[in-house]
Amino acid sequence: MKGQEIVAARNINLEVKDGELFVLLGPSGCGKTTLLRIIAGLVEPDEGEVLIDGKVMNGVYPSDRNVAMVFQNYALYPHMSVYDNIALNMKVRRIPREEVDRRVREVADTLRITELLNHRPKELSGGQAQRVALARAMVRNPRVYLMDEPLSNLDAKLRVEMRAELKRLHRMVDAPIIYVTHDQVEAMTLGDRIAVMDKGVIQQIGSPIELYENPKNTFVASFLGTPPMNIVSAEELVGVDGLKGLSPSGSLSGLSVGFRPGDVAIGDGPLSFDVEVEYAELLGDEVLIHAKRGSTRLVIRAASHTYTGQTSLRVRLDPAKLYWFNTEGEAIRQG
Amino acid sequence: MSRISPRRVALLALTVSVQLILALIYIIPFYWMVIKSFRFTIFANFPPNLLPTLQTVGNYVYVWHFSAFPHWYLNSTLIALSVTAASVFIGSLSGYAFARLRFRGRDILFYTVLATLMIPFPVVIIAEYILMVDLGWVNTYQAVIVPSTASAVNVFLMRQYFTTIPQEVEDAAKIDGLRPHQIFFRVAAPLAKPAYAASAIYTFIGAWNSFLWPLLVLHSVKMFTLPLAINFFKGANGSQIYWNQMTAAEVLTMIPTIVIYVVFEKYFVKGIALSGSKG
Repeated sequence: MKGQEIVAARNINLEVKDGELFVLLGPSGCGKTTLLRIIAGLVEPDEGEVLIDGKVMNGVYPSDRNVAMVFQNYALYPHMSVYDNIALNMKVRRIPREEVDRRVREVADTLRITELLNHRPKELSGGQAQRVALARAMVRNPRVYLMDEPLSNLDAKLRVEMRAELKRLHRMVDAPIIYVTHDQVEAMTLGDRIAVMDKGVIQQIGSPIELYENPKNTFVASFLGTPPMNIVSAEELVGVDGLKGLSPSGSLSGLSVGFRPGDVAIGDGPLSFDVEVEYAELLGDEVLIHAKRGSTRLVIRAASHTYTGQTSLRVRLDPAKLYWFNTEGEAIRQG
Repeated sequence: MSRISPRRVALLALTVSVQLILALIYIIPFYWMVIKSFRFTIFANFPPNLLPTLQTVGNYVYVWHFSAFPHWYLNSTLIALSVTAASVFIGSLSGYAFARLRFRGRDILFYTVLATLMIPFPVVIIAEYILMVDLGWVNTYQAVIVPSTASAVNVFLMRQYFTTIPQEVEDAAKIDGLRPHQIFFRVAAPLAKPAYAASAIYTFIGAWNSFLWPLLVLHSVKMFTLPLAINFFKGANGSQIYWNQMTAAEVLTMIPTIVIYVVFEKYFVKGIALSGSKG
């Protein structure tokens, strides 16, 4: 089909180090999977170079790049047994049968799938299929691991389990892992470094804590953290006592203020204002209060005993935990 | 429980009787053919005698032993199998190319191939015959086999099926070190077994039953296929049709297709579903 040219990712420049778990994080359609496929050699970029160990990989056939990939839908070969799925790469490379067998059993043991080796993929549960996909990648001892949302098809409980498993496997291998996900919790818990992508552009690269504490723009700020950071136009907060004095430009016009749900407290004092409560979600020892100020919605995380079902509240901001953004949504660093 | 209205009863009765009549129109000739093949009389009377009688198996013995029937059977088998093997293989290769490879003009080429389905065979029959004459292939097996190996139906059917195989599986194979031709033979083709089966069955039956083209290009009697050979039971000068022998020959001709249908019935349905599925 002829269609308009779509640029999936542009001006990407990043370097991944040995032993690192590098996460590409972004909403669906942001270009992160395309980037991964470019690294794998499944897609050739229009411009630019992919280097592995300093060697240019453009035009090199995927398998000759010595990368292993774990796909979102596992992509196991349905007509082959688990054993053959894991062994195919080595068979293609004509590695002696005994060697193949030894390595398949070794990796199956590591991933606890030995008893599944004679099964067909369709007989496996999601978690088992994912382990097989991981085994297929690990058995090759690749230079780079590429993982494309490997946990997104698992149910919540299994996802947490597999996350821990991945963390364990990561410590066992030296090769870097490039991990694509749209789940910020996954990114925060697994990643050594994270690149946040949106609309084909990398918004920010850094360690999870750097991104969380110093987001470069409103996109990164609202993408990391659950519930996301509240970003309120400063004009909505005109009249809040003491706010203007904290503004980096000395005025409130054209700015937005960001604050995490946990950095708002119920109560009066400096930097306080009234909000209307829409509804509250009780999560046990804490409560998420969904509130409104003017046309802006915000979320407040509070200890459950401090909220007693009021429909309007006075809340207080923490002056040390405010983020300021300009009209373009870029963070304004405070000196 | 709701009462069934008289209207619905009437509608049901109508549907069932129309279906019954249709079924009879299809079945009676077959039924008559089978019982006729076991009778002594060579004539076909009207109205036909539809009583189930088994008078003799002599017609079968005659057809098998006193004509070149086993030889024609072999011809038909050989031709149908060759056409099937070649056509399905070529169809799957080009179907795969249309489904997965990216090249200039792919879609235009594909729709052109599909468009040939709309051209009735008699339109091209003279051109094709002249081509056979020029090639010196008249009265050879390859004249029957080679033109049938290009089948737009098979290309279409295989392409539709290959598009349903997840791209990720083929990507995984690329990363595992399979080259494009190995991906085809070791991953795509084994996964497309149902499509292979469906197109093989259709092609085999089509080739087995083919009449017009073999009639044109096969001249000598020993080259004949079964549909042509049945004509021989019309008698020496064509004045007398030996209906009992002819029906016996017909029953023998039908057996492979019926066996295939019974054994592979589910693939027939699948084949229809496949060719109708969205790509």
